[in-house]
Amino acid sequence: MQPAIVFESAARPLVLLHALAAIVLAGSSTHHALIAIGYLRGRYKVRLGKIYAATVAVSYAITFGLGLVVYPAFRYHVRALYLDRYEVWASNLFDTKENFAALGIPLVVCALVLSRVMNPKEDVALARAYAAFVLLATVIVWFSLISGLLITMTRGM
Amino acid sequence: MKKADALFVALAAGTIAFAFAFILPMLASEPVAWYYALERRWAFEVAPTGLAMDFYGRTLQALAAWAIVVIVTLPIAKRFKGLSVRAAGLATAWAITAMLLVMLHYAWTLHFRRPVPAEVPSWYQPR
Repeated sequence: MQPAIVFESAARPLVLLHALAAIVLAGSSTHHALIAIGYLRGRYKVRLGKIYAATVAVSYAITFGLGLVVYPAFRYHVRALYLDRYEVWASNLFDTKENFAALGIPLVVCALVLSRVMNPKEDVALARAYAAFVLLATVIVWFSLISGLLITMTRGM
Repeated sequence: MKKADALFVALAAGTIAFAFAFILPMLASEPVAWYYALERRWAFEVAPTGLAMDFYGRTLQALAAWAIVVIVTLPIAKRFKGLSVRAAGLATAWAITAMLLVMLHYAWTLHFRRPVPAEVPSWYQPR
């Protein structure tokens, strides 16, 4: 008898929503990174920086949350039954992606808080820190997005 | 210290705490919450006895460490006079380095992992 895994029946629409949220996240992260690089080069679009930091934080939370919800069904039906047996590289890439995505949480929170409290024109050191956090978070987002696409091309829900 | 500087110091310290708390169960045989997807149950243990996931447990542990360090560090940081450019640079470097080290560790160990596939059940129909 097929085991009843939590949220299994809704796994496909949830993965679709996860992908849609990831598209928003990739777009907002990239724009946020460009704003942060602008701070280092003396171009201060502070209002846009605040908007993108908030958009990244919300879309990151939604993407990550949906990933958590659908993870048990993926872990069994896709990873344990297929990837671990036939596509080990995809199984390992998935675990790398999920761990990187979790590590992005404090970076995104720090960038959100700094975008609200700092003045990049005066706080040069904080603007540099902000840029470093935003750039690493953006790298994690793009790595996760590309990894997710590769894994789903190999075996989806 | 200015509010923005103190918040940054606390969040940088929290980032370092998050990174190390997240990887700790992997390095130090420390018990963590595992979720058994097929049995729909949780267990607090060092190693699982079946198909289980420690990702939720490690993430929760890291978030708790992050929250504790931020809450403790913030009032301490506020007591200091100011944050120099050098100190801010060091805090950034430590936080980013901690993240990169943990990421490198996962990338390296997972690249060489050989997972054990689950037994194929009788109802399984490959698509």
